[in-house]
Amino acid sequence: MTIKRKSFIKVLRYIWWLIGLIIILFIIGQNIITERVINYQVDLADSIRPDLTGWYPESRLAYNPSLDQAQLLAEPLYIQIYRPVDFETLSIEGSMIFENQNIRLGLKQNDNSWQWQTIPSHDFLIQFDLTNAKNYRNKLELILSIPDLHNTTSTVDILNNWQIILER
Amino acid sequence: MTKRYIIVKDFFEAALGTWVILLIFELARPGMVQRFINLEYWFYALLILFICLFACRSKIL
Repeated sequence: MTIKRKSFIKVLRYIWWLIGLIIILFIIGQNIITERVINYQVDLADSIRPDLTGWYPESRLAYNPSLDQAQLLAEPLYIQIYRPVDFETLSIEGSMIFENQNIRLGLKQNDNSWQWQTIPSHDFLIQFDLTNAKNYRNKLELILSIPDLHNTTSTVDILNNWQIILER
Repeated sequence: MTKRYIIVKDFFEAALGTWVILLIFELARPGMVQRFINLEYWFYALLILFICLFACRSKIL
């Protein structure tokens, strides 16, 4: 093998390892969390993202891009939130269109029960304590339940403005 | 050893080394890597690469 060919192979070897190092540094960089508050924006058009998975099952929602809202066809709905470090509270802010249905949000607990909170009005802010929240694979799980959805002809819509705020 | 074999071998070693480090990260803190990179697909790519390496060595490729 000539010297020129050997040096070409050597340069390529360094490039491969450099690419690997860049990937590792990117992952480390993405996981360094210094903020006290993390704000996730729920996007009804894109249910699978690195930090948020949901709402799912997608077949229970009918998203209307022109109105930027989704009609609930069935319940319950779930969402998983990535929790990179320990946070103390989880706040959920958003809007819904409904009539007189009983709409509840639940946070999964360590004993697999749900910590329920009722959505009081069309625009709401709900806070959960994360002390006993289940942290499976660093993910929190929320449920949106409307037990009387099938008993009524009226529809329930979720507006695409939900925010999930983690605080410590 | 052919030039092609050495290049594929170097690439395989770098990909395997990076995958092992990322796997350790993922095991240490679940979700840390998997949110961005699918380590399972990476593993399958490594298997294919290993077969290519074997083929290069046997002068099939």
